[in-house]
This record gives sequence, structure tokens and C-alpha cells, in this order.
Amino acid sequence: MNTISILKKVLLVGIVLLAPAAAQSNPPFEVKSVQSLVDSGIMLTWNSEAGAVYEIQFSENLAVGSWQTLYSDMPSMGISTFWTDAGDYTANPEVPRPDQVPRRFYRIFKVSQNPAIGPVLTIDNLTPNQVLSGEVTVTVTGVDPDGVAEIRLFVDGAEYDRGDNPGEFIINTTEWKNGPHRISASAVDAAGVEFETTPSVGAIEPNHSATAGLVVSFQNYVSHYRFSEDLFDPEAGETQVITANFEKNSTWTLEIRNEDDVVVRTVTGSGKTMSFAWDGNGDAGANLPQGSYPITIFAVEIVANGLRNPPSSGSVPAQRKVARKVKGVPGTVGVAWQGHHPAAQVPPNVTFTKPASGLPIRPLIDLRPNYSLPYGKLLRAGDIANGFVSEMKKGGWKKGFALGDDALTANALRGTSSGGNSKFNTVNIGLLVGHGIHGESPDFIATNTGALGTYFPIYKTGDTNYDWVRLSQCDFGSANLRWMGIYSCNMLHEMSYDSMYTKGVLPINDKLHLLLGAKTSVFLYESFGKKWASFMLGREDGTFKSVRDSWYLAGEKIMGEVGGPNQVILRVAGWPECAGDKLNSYTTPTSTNVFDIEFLDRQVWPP
Amino acid sequence: MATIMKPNLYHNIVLLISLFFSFDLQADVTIPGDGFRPAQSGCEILWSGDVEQLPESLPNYSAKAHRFSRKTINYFKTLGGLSDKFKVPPLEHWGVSKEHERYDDDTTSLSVAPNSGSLQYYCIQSHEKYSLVDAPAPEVAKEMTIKILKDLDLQLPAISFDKARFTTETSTRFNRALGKPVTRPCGVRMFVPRLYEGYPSNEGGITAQYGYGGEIIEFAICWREVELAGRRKVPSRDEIAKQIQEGRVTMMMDAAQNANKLTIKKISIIYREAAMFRKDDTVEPILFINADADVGGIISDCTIYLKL
Repeated sequence: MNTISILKKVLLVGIVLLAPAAAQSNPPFEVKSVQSLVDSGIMLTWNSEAGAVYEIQFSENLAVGSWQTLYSDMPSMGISTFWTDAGDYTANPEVPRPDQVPRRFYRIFKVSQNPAIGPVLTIDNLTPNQVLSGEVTVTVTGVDPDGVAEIRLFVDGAEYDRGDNPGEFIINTTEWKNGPHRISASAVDAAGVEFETTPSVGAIEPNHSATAGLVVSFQNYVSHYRFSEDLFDPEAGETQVITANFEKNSTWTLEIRNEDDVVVRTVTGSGKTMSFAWDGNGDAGANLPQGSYPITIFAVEIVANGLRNPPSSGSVPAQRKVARKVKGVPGTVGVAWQGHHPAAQVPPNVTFTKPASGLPIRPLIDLRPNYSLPYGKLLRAGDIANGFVSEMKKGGWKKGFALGDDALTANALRGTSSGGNSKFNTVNIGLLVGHGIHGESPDFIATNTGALGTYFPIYKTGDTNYDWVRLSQCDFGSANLRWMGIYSCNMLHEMSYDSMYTKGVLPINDKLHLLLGAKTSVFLYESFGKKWASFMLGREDGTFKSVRDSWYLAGEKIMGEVGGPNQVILRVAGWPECAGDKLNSYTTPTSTNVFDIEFLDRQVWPP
Repeated sequence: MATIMKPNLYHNIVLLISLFFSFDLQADVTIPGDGFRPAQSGCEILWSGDVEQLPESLPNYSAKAHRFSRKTINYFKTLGGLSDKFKVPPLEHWGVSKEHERYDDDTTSLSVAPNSGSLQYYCIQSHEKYSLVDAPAPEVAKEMTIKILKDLDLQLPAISFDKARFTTETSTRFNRALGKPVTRPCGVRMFVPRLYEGYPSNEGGITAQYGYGGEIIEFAICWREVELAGRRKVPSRDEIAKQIQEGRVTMMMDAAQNANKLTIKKISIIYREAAMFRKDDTVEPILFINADADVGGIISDCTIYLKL
């Protein structure tokens, strides 16, 4: 009841404040309705233009500078588009569900227009008003001459999951209240993947689309089965509140199991609803390790002469929900990327220069590949990084930070001795994605004996030059950071690596276990980050692979899919005892002598 | 109370199993790459004289479970010292089946999922094994794999060692005695594809990886039982050209996009099935078309994918 009244407050405030924001845009742009959905959150509906893409921002207090992006790319559904705010636990900091805050304000912007028609979407296996119970697989197919890169599924306007094309989405209908619900979808086509050895000559923007889908009906004995948190940490005083409704007055049993399927906590009760706040402990206050705990609810209808099963006709009579809830978190993830560099112009009319060498006679470093600067867009850089975070979260890892495009500064990468703050040293595993270039002339700024270096160009919108980060300026490794991946061309290039190694300026300290990179060009295909995480977490095949093997296998997998004209060799450097590290089972480095550092190369393409 | 609850629990257990089946990840046989965008002015298609003749049709299959013998499973349990005390629950994405088995002692694991015809042995090689001899050369690895299959009496018809793909890994460490870095082979990995009517699968087959001293790092079998579901017509050269010109194919999105001329050099037939531990219902042929793409006079190599 409290929840409903809070949502009504949000609804009223939202209407008042959305109208002025809308009035600043094109005349047809108008917020048509704001609805509170007890199941999902706040649904916004607005007049839209065909082929447009919208961004939704929110503020909790309307203060200057308080507006934050909540959803960056909601495609138009035609003349009217809807989207629902259900919070965003992937954001940093997390955006709570709207029913967990006293008020929230929204504004909507049109941010782009499709260059061409986006994917044509169909929801294949559902029919209007179909009655659904229990776990249901929803199949969504997108058709587009450019191919379809991603499909997203929405329930009542709130994004539920993302997948490839065709999208196979499993939804548990017990999570919502019984009754009508709208299933909709959006997609983005596959334009924009690029091979970094090819100079960008004007990247192609992807096209988006969305379908309003159809209304179906959920019918379950146990419904509105909810968890208050996506992840929770009892050591920080957090609890996981589990709630559910039952069709009839029932006795209920809630079982929490460990990963060996052993029941570790049992709670019982009766009524038409249930609510239980789990403190993370087992029965009798037993201390449980961090991990994932599937949670089961059994409900049995109470009748006058005792207990009996609920009726089984027409619906699934009792439900089991397997929810991967984490007590504590295995670790933290940090990602950074730059993909927004402007394209090189012929003839050049901007003055991007190469890194300084520190020499008066030959003041600039010779770079390979020797493109015209700037280097152009890498449209999938953000997808690679965010795909990595999303997949790691499925294994219970928490996002420490995500710095994309202009949010990534050179000082976030540089070590403290080079004036930076080593942002990656604040998390346990990191991934950096962007352009990578190796030098072919000595760099006397990296070290006064002149090492051959590798370089990560940092661009800021509007600038006419790069802030060059030398890899040797980085200082990867800390009490937190164990593994650092750099998915960029050439960052561990043979000659440069050898030179940095022999001159003692490799960016590996005695705390970093492994530095994972490439000694050649790489293919920036969007699924690389997801695959790396997926192999490490045992979600790709049958095994929790080592950090190093997972790096290689992600490369092999994507190169096997898409091929490529160039040889691709991935390189992993670090302390030998750490070469077999897994995410949950690893060895701390014991050496401080850089001559003990080993590097391992695997050619992932062609086989 | 206990008497009353027992039938309820039984009922619930039956129900749970049926619900769990919906966790199986279904077939993800999709075409790789991104949509091809021929030049707006049209894309001329030329054929190199070396392109092989294609068959008129190719079979497609429905895929079913494959059960591995106890001999095979016990071989890998013994190899990894994986007694039953190391048995752990199967992973969620395999789907639910009483036949699934998984053993894991942190450094060594064995996974068996008959519903997707998957078996995978994997171990982390200790860095102390550096003192052993180099990892075997690809030819030696090939013979080792043949011997393992023979020892296991694994009757896997139509795998092709001739079409095996190898990747090798090297380790470079500083040798204090020599005063310089020394590079050694530390791993060799091979994929031996299964053949369907003589054409290789993308996932079906044997994967083997060996480390220092020839230690087995990974041995994986992806083998689904298949039944003929029909035959797909293979398009003629004219039909292939038309599909490419109309952009009804996919390719790696690189400089070859927007080509105004493609010279087809080679066409390979690949059977696509889902990755290991992913339940799959179909095995389908697709064409891998290797071509030189001409974009404004710049020639680059590309691969085009055409689903039959």
C-alpha cells in the first residue's frame, strides 16, 4: 500500500515537470501520459517521430547538474512510444527503482534519427491475450539488410534482457502480478563494426527500431514474486527482502539453497501474501559464504479440512523461482573505453600531432600504423566494455567504474608517478578498449634511455589534439587490481614490449598478476568483452576457464566467427605463478624482480 | 503433517523439473558477421577460375542427445583424480537432466552434458611444469589425440584430422644462465571437426589442448546424434551473385563493405551447430565465400556468409 501511494506522488510531480521539458523540443513532441505500474515502475508515453531515438534523463531534486541519463537509446515505436523506469542497478552509482525514492523527475530528448530503416521486429511465439504461466521463452526476430546486432525485450515497457538475433528470452511470469502485461522489443542493426587497421573513413551509424508488441496475460498461483535487491551484502548490513502473492489463502515454505542444492534456510508462514527479509544467514544463524543462493517458494492452499494442493488446471499451481542472489560480492570490475574519435580528414584540417619524443632534432615519435590523425570512431568500443561488465555482473561481480569517451581522461590511466590516479587500481579486474599504436622511434619521455613505446590516444570532444598516454606511464597492480585487459591493437607489440621490458618500464608492478593484451592488430567485435567474462565465469561452456585461457578463447571464438585478413596474436604478460589464475582461485605473485616476468603468446587467427 | 506434505513435495518436484527444462538455451545457429552493403551503384560479381564446383544440394539435420560411455567418463575422472567427492552441480545453462555430471577440484574439472552431446575435461597446468619438456608439436599432438580416441574405443565416424585447425602458444622467460629471454612452445590446441557429408562442422568434433610434457590441458567432445531432416538446394553461381548484389548475405564489416566489385576466389561449405553445452535442434549448412573486394580501387580480402 505504501508503495502505491509513493508512486502516485511521483506520477503527479512527473506530469508537471515533463511538460516544460517537452515543450522545448519539436512541436509534435509531447508527453502523453505518466503511469505508475506496481509491477514495474513508472511508464512514460510520448508522441514520437518515426525513426527517432530518444534519451530519458532523471533527477531526484531538479538541482542544476543533477540530471542523469537513465536510458540512452530508446527507439521510436512510431507516432507513440513508451518506456518504463524500473531503476538501473548496472549504473554507477546504482539508480534505485522509483518506488524506493520519494520522488523522481524525468525529461526526454530526441538524440538521433536513423540514417535508414531499422530492423523489422517480430515476436514470434506469442499471440495476443495468450495466457502464460511459469517460465516462458519468448522469441524475437529482427530482419535487417545490415544484420541485427542486438535485440532487447521489454515487459510493460521496462527492459528485461538483451540478446543476439534471434533473441531467446526466458521470463518468469511469476515476477509480475496476474493479469494483462505488454511484451515489446527493440533492436539495433549491425552497422559500425570496424577493423582497426583500416583507417576510419566515416563510420556508419547503426539504425534502431522498436515494436509496441502485444498484450498477454500472466496467470500463476504464486505471483508478484520479487526481490528487493539484485545483489546484497549482509556484512554491510543489507538484507534481501523476498515477497510474493498467492492466489488463495495458503501455507507457504521458502527454501534457500546453496550451490550444492542443499537447503540452508527454511522459513514458513501463511496468508495470501508473504514477505521475508533474509539477513544472509542460514538456519539457526549459521554463517554462509558469499555466493549464489537459489530461492524456492512452495505454496499450498488452506481449505477448511486441512491442506491440499492448489488446483492444477489451467495454470502452473505452485512456482519455483531460481534467483541467483549473491551474499557479498566476488569482486569489482572497472572498464574504460574511447570510441568517439573524429574521423581523419583528407586533406587534414585539424592539427592532431604525434607524441613528443623528448628529442630536439626528431621531436615526434614515428608511429605504426602510420595513419592520418585523428584515428576515427570505434563504434563498438563501448559495447565491448559494457558487455564485459554485464556478463561479470551475472557472476555476482560489482561494477566499480565505467569511464567512456569524454569521461575517460589520461590521468585516469596514468600512474601516480606520472601525475595520474591509476583508476584501474581501485578494482579487481579491468578492461580498457580503444585505439592502440606502437612507436618505431625512441621515446625519451617514457624513459631517459629512450624506449620504444606503445600509446593510447585520449581524445576529448572539441579538442584538436590527443593527450597521449604511454603504456609505460601506467602502473597496473594494487592490493585490488589483479588482472588488467587492454583490448586495443599493438599495445604489447613485439619490439615495443621488448624495449619496455629491457628498460624496466613495463606497466606491471609486483601486485598485478597478469596484463592481457595483443601484440598485433585486433578485431573490435562487440562480443569480445562478454566472451572473456563468460569463459571465466563458466557461462560459455562447461568449465570455469583461467583468466588467460579465457582471453585467448574469446579471441579465437570471435575470430572464428568473423574471420579477418590479418594475423591476430594475443599476448599475456605477468608473473609465472599467476598464469593459471582463475577468478575465484588464484596465486599471489611472490617475485619483485621484473626479469621473472613471463609473456605468453597465442595466435588466435588464422588457426 | 509430514504425511500430508509428502505428496505435495512430490508434486512440486515433478513440476520443478518441467520448469527447469525451459532454462535450456535453444539453438543459436546464426550466421556470423554483419549485413553486407553493396555499393549503391551496384556490385559487379566476378568469379576466379579456381572456384570449385558446388553440390546441387546439401543435407540438413535434426540434432539429439549423445550419451558418453562410463569408460569414457571414467577415463577422464581417473586422469584428473576426480573422485565422486569432487562432484558439483551442473551449470545452469546446460539445462536440467539427471544425466549431467560435473566434477571440479579448482584446478581440474570434468563436465558431461548428454543433452547437448558435450564432454569437456580441463585442467590448469601448474607453472612448475615449466621444468618439463616443451609442449608437443602439432603433428605429435595429432597422434596423441588419435591414441586417446583409440584407447577410449570412441567410435566417432567422420571426423577429419586432415581438416584439423591448430593454434600454438609460446612462453618467453628471461634465462639467467644465458643472459637473454628464451621462447619455448608451452601449448598446442587443436580442433578436429566433425564432417557432415564430407563438410566440416563449426563446433561438432574434438578439441584437444596439450601443455608442457604433453599434459592434457583440455579434451572436449561435441557430438550430437543427428537425423536427416531434409536437403537444401545449393544456389547456382547466378543465384549467389544475385543474393550478394541484393545484400542478402553477411560478412565481416571491414573495408570490404560498400564494394563495387567482388571477385569470388573460393567457396567453402560449413555446417553450423550450437556451441558445446548449448542444447541444439538443428545442424545446417552455410556457404563461406572468400572474395577480393574492390572499394574504389582498394582491394581487400573478405569472407561472405550465405545461409542455405
